[in-house]
Amino acid sequence: MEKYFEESLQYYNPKASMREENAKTLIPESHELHVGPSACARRLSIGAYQHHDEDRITNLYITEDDIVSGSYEDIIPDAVDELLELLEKKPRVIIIFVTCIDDLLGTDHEALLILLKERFPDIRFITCHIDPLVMDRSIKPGMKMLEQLYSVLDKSELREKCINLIGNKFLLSNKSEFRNIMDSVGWELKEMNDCNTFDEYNEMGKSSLNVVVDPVAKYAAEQMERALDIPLRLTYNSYDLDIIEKNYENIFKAIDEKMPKLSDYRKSTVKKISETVKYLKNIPIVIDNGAVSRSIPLARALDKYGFNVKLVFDGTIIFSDIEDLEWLKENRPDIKIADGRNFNIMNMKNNLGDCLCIGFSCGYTLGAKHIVERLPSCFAFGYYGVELLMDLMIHAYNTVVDYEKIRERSEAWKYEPIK
Amino acid sequence: MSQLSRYLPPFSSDYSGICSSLFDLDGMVVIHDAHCCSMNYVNMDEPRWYGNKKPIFSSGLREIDAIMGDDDKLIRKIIKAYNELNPEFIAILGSPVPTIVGVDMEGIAQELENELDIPVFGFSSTGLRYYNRGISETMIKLTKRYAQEGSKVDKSVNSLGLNALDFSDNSNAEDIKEVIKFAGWKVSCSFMMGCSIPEIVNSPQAEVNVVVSQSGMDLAEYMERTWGIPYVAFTPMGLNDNKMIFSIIEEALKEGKSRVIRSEDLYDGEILIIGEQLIANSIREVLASHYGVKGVMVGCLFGKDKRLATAFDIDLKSELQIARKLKENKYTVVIGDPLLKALVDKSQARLFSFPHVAVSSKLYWHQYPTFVGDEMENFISAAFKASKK
Repeated sequence: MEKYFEESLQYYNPKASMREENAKTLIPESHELHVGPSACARRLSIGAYQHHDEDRITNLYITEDDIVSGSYEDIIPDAVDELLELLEKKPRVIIIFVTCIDDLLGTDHEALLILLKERFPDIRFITCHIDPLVMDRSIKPGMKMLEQLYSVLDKSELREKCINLIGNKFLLSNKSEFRNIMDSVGWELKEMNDCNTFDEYNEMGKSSLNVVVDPVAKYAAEQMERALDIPLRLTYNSYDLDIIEKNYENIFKAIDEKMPKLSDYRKSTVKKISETVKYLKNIPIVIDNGAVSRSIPLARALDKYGFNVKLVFDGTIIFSDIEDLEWLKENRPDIKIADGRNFNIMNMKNNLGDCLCIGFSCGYTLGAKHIVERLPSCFAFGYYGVELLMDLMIHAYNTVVDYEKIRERSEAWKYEPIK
Repeated sequence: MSQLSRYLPPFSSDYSGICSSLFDLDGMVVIHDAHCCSMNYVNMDEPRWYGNKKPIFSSGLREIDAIMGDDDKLIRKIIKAYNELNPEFIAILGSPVPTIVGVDMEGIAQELENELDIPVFGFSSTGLRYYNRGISETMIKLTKRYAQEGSKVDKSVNSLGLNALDFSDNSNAEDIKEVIKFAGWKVSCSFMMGCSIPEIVNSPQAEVNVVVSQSGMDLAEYMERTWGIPYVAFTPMGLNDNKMIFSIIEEALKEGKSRVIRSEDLYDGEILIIGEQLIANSIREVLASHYGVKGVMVGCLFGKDKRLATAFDIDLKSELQIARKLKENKYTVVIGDPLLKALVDKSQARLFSFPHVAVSSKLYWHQYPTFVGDEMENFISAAFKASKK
């Protein structure tokens, strides 16, 4: 999908948003073994420290000799042995993360997993790829990784009145109407990040439906349908009220329950939107995909409500957003869509003047005064998500951003001072 | 198995060292990678990235380009950016994937240079070596390319090996220059923080080189071989006896003989300093010369340079080696990055936290110590007192 943007050298703004830092997709009681050149896992390891999750990660460095020998995977079983000696508690799952070079070395992962299962029969092993090298494949690295993380679930003949949320990096907010609505009809929502034990996580294999809330999880849910017989519904989180309503209809149809009346939620959200449009007085809006996962559909939704959307930064257009992209190009050619990674953004001038940016990166690029830096670290599905965004836009409009404070907070975040 | 790292993160790699070295110059830097290597540098290894916009880019390498060996795509992208940004030079850096498929970074650089008529440097960085190798290689390449012999400038020195991965972006780099100036010497070129291409051009005019980190040693030897410039290796630290240090520089100049500042009769005793070798050496020197503590071992975290080491200093090649060394329970005090705590806590030693960007990155770079002055002197003094308990 990179055809939408000219191929170019890529520039990266500093990552200062804590939202991204705080995102987690973790299997409980698992341990991560990152295998690769020492450089590769640095960002992830330091990120783990920032979450105070460093105990979950161990690195296994491969050397030039291992690469030249052509069988670096041979060192993994002994490394697992050594790792188990170092861990206080034996993990239920060991996730072996490999990097870009693995795609070129032709590692036989199946053979490796068989070997590991024979040698460590009471531990489940999976391999996961962190390989942006294959970003241009239709199954992108993030999609493949989610599929791999869910692949450890056991198939069950039992079907419970539970729905799995698939694709949310953050826990569903308790304020989201989604939870209340499902509670009201006696259905429970399950999320990977809400599970404290592996057994609890494994219970997700007994759910009756997978609700895919982000396109990145479509592939995982399709594989789960095949392997676990759990049907799926593609109900990507949206800021468009019509799509939100359709999503709920879709879910209720799938579970064969009568949908409660949602008109009060919608009415309240419509009111909030119209108040926000008025309050922001036509200020130009700029969006990137740092604060929300899908900037293009958000741009279309905000434009529909009457916000003055001017510019959208995106890097890789994913399959689910093509329709919105084409629609915007056709119907709103004045809304510019820029490659947020093109080298040119380094010197991009702010021609919009006073504007409100949704996403830290676009705000940083333009030196904007008003930024919705991030959504709180929760998943705000449905009408609540829209209302929350409106609140944050008003807050951003009323506040002048302090870039130095953002820097200090992102660097010192949660970490202990030296004693 | 010595390649497992349970408690420590991976350290900064060679490509980060190269980018960091080139940060202050008006060049354009391209890491030939998919995304992750550039993100490592930008987000974890460059304390100056936030608030500064520098033309340091990722090539956006994809699998098909790597497999097909499509170097032309990289060249096209670079030329496009060059035409818009007009950099003074271009540097292209390797990463693990180009290493695996055998991309000829020097060859691509040559091809680009023929076409663009500006200097283009190719670096065969791999992501498998530490940052100091990258810094060292960068300084040598730039010197070989730009430096021109000229008549000596009286009482002038180059400082070799200043970099943000060892010294962070607080006042350390400026403080070191001030120490030199205060002693009546002029800094010709401050490789590689706050320097410019014209300063590199004139760097052979310096009378002496002051090496301030391990990464400066190869350049120091090169300049000694090529232009007969002697070097003195030490990092200004604490309330150094500058008079003594600069008399050593005078001696080096007079005798035309290089030297590493190090006390006599050192031995493997009660203190272990784990970190960058020359900085660790310099802390040891303060302990020895100001406090009379000579039982100090240096554990080299990023490779041991024999030119700087005592007979007993140790090359800590893996976490396992660090753990084993600490298990000897020989040391009462360990000085090193705060992330060593989990390992040090398994011994009887007390850790004195001394952050290092190349280890703990942004977790501690906002608490970086000021090397010159009271803060460091007090820190070393506290470590000395603890070692005597």
